[in-house]
Amino acid sequence: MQKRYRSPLKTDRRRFLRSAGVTLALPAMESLPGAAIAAGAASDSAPAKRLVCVGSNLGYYAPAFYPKETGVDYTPSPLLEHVAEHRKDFTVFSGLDHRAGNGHRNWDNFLCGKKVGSVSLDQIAAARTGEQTRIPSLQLCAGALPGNQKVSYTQEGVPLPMVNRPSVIYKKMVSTPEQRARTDYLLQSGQSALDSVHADAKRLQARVSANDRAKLEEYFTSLREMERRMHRQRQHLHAEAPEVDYVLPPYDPVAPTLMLEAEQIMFDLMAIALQTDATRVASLFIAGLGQVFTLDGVTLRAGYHALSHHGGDPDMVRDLIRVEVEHMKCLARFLHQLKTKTDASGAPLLDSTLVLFGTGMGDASRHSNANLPTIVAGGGLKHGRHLAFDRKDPNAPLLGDLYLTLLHQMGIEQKQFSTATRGMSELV
Amino acid sequence: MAIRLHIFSLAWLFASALHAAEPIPEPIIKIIDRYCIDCHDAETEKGDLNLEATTIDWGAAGSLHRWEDVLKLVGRQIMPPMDKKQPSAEERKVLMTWLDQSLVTHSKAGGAPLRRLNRREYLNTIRTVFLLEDFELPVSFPADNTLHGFDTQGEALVISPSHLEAYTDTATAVADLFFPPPKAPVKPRIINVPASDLAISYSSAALIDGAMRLASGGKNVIRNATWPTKFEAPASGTYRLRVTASFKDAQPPLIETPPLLVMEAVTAEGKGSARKLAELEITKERPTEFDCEVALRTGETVAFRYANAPFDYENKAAFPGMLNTLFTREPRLAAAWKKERRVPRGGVGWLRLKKYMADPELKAIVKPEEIQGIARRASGNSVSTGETLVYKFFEDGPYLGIHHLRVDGPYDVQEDPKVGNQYKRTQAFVGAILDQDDEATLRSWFERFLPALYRRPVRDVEVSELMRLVQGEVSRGRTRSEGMHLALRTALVSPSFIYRETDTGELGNYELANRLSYFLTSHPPDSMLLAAAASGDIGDSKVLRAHTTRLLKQNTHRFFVKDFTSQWLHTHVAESLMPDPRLMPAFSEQHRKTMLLEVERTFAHILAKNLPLTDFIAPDYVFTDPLVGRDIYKIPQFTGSKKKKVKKGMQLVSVDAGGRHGGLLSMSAVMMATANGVDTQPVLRGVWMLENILGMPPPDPPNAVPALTPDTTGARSPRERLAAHMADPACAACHKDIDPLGFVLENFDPIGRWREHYPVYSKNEKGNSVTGNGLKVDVAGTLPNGVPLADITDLKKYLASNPGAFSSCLAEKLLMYAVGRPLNYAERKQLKRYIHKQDPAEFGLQDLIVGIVDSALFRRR
Repeated sequence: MQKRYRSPLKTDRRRFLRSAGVTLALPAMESLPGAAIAAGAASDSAPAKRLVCVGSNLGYYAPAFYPKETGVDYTPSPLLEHVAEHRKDFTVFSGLDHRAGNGHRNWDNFLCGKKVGSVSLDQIAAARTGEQTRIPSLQLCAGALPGNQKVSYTQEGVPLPMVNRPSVIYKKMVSTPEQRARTDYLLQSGQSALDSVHADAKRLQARVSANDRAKLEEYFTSLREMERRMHRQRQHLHAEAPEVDYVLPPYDPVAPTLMLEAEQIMFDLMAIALQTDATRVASLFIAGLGQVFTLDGVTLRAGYHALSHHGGDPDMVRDLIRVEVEHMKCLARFLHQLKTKTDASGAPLLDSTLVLFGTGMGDASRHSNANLPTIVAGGGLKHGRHLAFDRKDPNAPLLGDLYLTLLHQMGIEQKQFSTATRGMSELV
Repeated sequence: MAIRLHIFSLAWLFASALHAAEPIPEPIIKIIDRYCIDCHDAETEKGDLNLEATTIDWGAAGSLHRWEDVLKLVGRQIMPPMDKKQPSAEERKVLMTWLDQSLVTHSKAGGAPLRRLNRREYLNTIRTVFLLEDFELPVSFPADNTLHGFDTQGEALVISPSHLEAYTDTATAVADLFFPPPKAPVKPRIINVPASDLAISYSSAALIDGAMRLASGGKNVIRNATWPTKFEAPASGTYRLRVTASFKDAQPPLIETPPLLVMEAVTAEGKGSARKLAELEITKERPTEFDCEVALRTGETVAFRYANAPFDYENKAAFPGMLNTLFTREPRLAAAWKKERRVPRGGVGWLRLKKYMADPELKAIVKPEEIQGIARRASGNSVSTGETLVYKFFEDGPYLGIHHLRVDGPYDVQEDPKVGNQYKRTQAFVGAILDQDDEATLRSWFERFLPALYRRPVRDVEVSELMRLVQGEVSRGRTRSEGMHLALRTALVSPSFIYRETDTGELGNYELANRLSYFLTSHPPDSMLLAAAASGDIGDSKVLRAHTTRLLKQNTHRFFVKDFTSQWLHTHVAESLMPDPRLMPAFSEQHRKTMLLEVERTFAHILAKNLPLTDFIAPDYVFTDPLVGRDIYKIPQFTGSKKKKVKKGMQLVSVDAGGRHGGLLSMSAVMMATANGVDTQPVLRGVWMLENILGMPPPDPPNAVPALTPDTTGARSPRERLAAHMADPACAACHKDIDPLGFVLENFDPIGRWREHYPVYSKNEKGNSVTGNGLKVDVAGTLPNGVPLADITDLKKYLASNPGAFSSCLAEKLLMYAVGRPLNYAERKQLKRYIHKQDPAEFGLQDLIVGIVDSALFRRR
């Protein structure tokens, strides 16, 4: 059989978006009258307009992640070496976490803060940006869907399901004419039927008490809002779909051993989603359990999970770092894409896109949720340093303080994130 | 029509709620000015309470609530604070009597907010109406807010745009089940899978010399199998497989039976049924092609397993013997294993062992007892050891090699079983209307379907509207199925479906049927209830009572038992708590399941037998199984010798009434839910008891109180740490009620085991965690009314002989749960009066529920 799809780890730039190939019939959302008005809100003047949050299940080996020196002139650590080309565009942090408890379940603290199930960072942002795009936010997973860990939680505390099939996400972003026709039909017929729903609500309104009428307003308001959303969705649908010259493999890399391949595709799909303004908020979970990876043609001799429980064994640590390097390469490649792709004004996407690259796992070998390896790139923040904090110092900032600053950068004036209230002035 | 027997007097139901300020009597103003106004004047407004007024508008928002708080705090002597000037007993009484009368006079009758179906009711209604027993809501469906502990409270059951979106998505999913959109046919295709495209998971396989080798015999797919990572069946049907496989034995040969290559259906993620597809005997060392046909369902792929491999680390019983044989045969391997204190897991460990074995200095181990010791130690962590040693078999054999797989299919494409059922379901559900396009058939179908969905008779206009939608689609060139799809979607987001109770004042017959049904079954009313509503009989006290007892006998009452108890007692919290492993390393999901089931079984038992409410406090039985009976309750009949014959499963076990075991106040699920999995917090348990057992919720704690930090060193007891509460009069006012109730439960650890000491954790010389006895648990205390409590048995005795507070509390919780709102002052007073009229020895749980249902309160919004 002709082998068309080599592992992307070997093909490197092959599946890059060819910038000329991404012909956006709809270069930016400005051509949508309804959306343009909606987007005219305060956040327009904010430096950051997009947020990407990436969390790795098994975290990173701390001695290979954190640089020894702090400040601008740090020597890149073995892992950071692989993103060194972008060092001016990101900040690496040590000593940040949510001061939450330990254990498997607490991985979910990652974007929630101290309490698992609080609305997650990405969803706070999506509440602001989601209105303006076809897809309010994307929740992606590279590899097999996790049983326990969740990344994104809604305001109501509902964990959002993740999608691990590139074909599904791709269809969501760039649907076939048949799919678009079906979606359009469902929306159009649904819209036409709203009159019946409205009439039913009116009939009810006519016979209930004054108090009930006030409560029923919730329904009418929601109905109007839904009508607006349906209208907007159809507008997006009718505006010609962006043509994306990106070839997915004929299979979905959901098998555990294909996780690294899936990871790279997911990063690529996020870049496409941001560039075509399909969404402005995305989260990506990098799964990982027992699978044995083949890197550069050599099959590792232990599963990822076994490696993460290295217990300090040097051979295990060496192989663990080899896997983690692949995550770093994905990040480097993603940042490169965000630098070469441009937004509607012609500026690099990265200038107005915040990328949070971290984990809810501080030390997988001990299941510790303290000192979470964290990188933030882009979004118009002051970058280029290693900011180290002493988590034993009661006045040290929390990871939530960093998140507050990210939100502020997006024009979301929130005073508190979880238990953090101060923000991180070092970045602004 | 029979005369209705109202439990509650009607006087207050019709008390007018005038929206006009009434003057406060002079003597009351005097008392307030003397004892309250220093802190609660317009300027200071301590606790956001301003009592500086000469009139009260009882109809104003929050007014009743505020003055009820005043009555509660003054009555419990929480206010004025102990360090302030205290009113005389007479003054206190004057103030309380006036407040009591005013609150009774001004309490409004009924007033449940317009209420939608909550998540449970919504799902159950869809399942019932559409006969979709296994239907699940989308994961993104919003969870309900709870209020007063319950998910039935109208005030909290809001509707937001996300709800309508979720309703729309669910409606489309339901409509798709009955009127599925057409699917494109799948054509057969040939896919070649090289060995390098097969999965390796943990140490399940190894790719060596172009073949994926299998060497372990366990059944667990994720640890012993390999499968194509890039092939998933695009449709259910027959697939022709060509497997190129080989076998190599060790030298000297090890196998006794011909090697079996078993093929099983799994997903590409390595999950799924592992349904056996085929089995091949592979004996040749030369790669050989085998053809077979297998039936795959959509999304499945083929996993390969060496089913009878001699090396099997999942067989825990045989594993030590297996290792002993291996190490005896390979004395140098034994020596290498011994040399590395902690052999790394997987191939890294195997490389390490090989390096040692290559060292000529390494001395082989030959002493059988020494080998046995090494084998025993290595078998301790069988998975870790197995994942390492399996590499020896990957290299030396016996192993099966998969060199290539060719898949050709699907042929004989079949409807997925699910889709097939759906087709049948569509036929059963909509029947003839898809084939007959006359209006009468369509109308008669809607006339049957809509009343079931809306749980009431429907008007012509409601039917006509949906019919118009169908006809509109047809007139636009769509099919009738598409029209029906749209009509279903529309009806499912309509307020008539979403809202439960919309009548004003007295509930109509159908709404009464709905309220009763959702209360006692969490499901929509059944045909008998609807018939009673149609005839109007349901309003008749006798009929209503009969339906209540009927529903309580039906299987569906289990939903009520689970939904109500888990919320009332907060035991739903115990579903997700992870107890500290140091507490009980062997704590399992089975323990948790039994503990939670005990709550339901106890409630159901008291209900079914109509036992007195005191059985919740001091029964002479517990429901448990041998596991929890042994590990948590340590009941003699389950402890001791393993050979003892013990009845399996959940069972009723006799205990001493009022002793350590039995009742809500000793129930392990309750103890777990009121702790945090790590340690106990007497304040939380005390508050829980006041709120849910005694019906005297304490006021909210004041702002800016630091949380008590757990003392992990064990140097100070919780009582010493909580002494601060009693020292500060501001805290003591409430904590004198809270703390004794919490401390009396301190004998129960965070998973409900009896303890006399707090645990202290330390590490032994091997670095393992050990638990020792720390400070003695001090549980003695005094109830606010002066009753001394030596331990929990005293409290049980007291509550069993004074069951009024508990009974009223349970009655109030049941009513709140049923009617979807908190009770007001007058209603609670009425309820207490009703409870106190009953003979506690005679008055059973069924009597209580029947009484509640047949009350004026239940019968109106």
